[in-house]
Amino acid sequence: MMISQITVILFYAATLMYAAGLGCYLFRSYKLFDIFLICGTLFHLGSQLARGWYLGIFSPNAIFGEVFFLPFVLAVLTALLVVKNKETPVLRSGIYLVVFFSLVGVFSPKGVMPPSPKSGTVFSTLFFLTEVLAHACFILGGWFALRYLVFKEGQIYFHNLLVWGFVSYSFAQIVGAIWAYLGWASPLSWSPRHLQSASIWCLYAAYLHLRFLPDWKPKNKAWFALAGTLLVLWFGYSGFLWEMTMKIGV
Amino acid sequence: MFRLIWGFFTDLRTSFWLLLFTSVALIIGAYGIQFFFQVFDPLNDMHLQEWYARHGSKHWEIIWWIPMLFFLLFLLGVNTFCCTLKRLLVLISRRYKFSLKNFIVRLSPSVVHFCFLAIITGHLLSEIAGVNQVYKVLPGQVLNMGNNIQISVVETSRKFYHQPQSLQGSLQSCSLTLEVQQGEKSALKTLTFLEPASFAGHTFNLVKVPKGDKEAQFKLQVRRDPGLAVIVAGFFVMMLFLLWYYLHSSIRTGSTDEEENVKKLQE
Repeated sequence: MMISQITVILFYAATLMYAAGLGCYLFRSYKLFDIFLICGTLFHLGSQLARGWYLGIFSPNAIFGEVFFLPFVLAVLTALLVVKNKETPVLRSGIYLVVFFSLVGVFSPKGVMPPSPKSGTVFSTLFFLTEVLAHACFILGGWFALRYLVFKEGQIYFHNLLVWGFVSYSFAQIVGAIWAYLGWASPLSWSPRHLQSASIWCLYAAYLHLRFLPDWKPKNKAWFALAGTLLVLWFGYSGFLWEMTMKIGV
Repeated sequence: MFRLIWGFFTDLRTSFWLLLFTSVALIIGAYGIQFFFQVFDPLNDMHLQEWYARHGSKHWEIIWWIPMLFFLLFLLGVNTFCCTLKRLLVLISRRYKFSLKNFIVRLSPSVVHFCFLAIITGHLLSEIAGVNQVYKVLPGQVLNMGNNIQISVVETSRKFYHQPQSLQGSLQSCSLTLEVQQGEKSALKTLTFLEPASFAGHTFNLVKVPKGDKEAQFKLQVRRDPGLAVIVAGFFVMMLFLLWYYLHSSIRTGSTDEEENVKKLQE
């Protein structure tokens, strides 16, 4: 069996496990949910590792490509939150996002970008790893912010996730700047990608300052967190949406 | 009047709105660059003032967000400096009320903010000062830069993948060998992607290699960037203190606003 087939089969298996986990969550069978989430995460880990060898040579950046790595990180974060707070069923609701982003992966091209001579540095690998980790924290944080707005639950979780998302995103900007300097002679280039990243960083830096403004109520902070998530999603997936729209001829 | 200005710049609401407006300016800029790439792309190959004279000044309707961004960053810089100074003065006056560890945790946000100031100042220096020149080079070419530096292009090479089949024909690696001279000093430098070389305070980067044509020119970027060290040092210290702060303040960040209000009332 080809490594590319193994990658895809394991990814489909992981998606099925996640979907089963979602079913268990809806029927409040939390023990079974935990088993499906862990199995799905393990299948997904296998799929991501196999992606590293997809092209016949080891390419670490292929492992951390956002489309397939994001649902994996979301699954791991959900599992960690569940382990830390076993008695809080709301945290299991992260499975909605895991299933949604896995389905995005299912409908995406499964190939891997060939490694470019400019990506052969540990800084690029660290950049993709920490950026996706930050995106996952922002998206999951936005999800709990939404739940806070609708059900008035989970304020503590959305704030903590956004804080650690910001730390991870700052780290991504640093290693990204080193990579940009080595490859493009400048730590900041005037490109849409760099300016989008800087705008997300500024937005979440603004969010962190809200904590010290007493006239901003938790509800307004939740709206702000949600807006941040929408911005992250727009920058990350608007290109994908455009491609899909062109494909189906809308 | 001074009090009014000081009050404005030391208000955290000012920080919040300035960060938000900066974020919006950057979003506008990201789309501006995407739609008018030919106007903004040369900005990566030269200093801001040079780019403005040659390209930007003819397109005010497209580039208006750049002065706005710089103005916002200037205000944000002043705001960051004033807020941090105010906080530091309070913290230092109460220094003996905290243990050393507690004091360093409380000091961390101030250090992070000073690092942020250093980083934006470093970026400004990178954009306007030092040397930033781009050359398209072929073997045998001789370039005369400023500062009495002469560059001779000795050799260019490209290596393509033969194996595995999925990568056949893709660029695997490339190199550019230069002989660099300044007065009596001279050195042979081989550049590859991600491995720039230094000589006489200048950095030589191989930034682009043409895909197909063997005779096509390699793109060499020469920089003397006075902001780089400031940016790297700022980033490094900022990350250390950011991690330190959030690792040690997890108890506070872990409580809800309501819980905090109750705590404050109890205190």
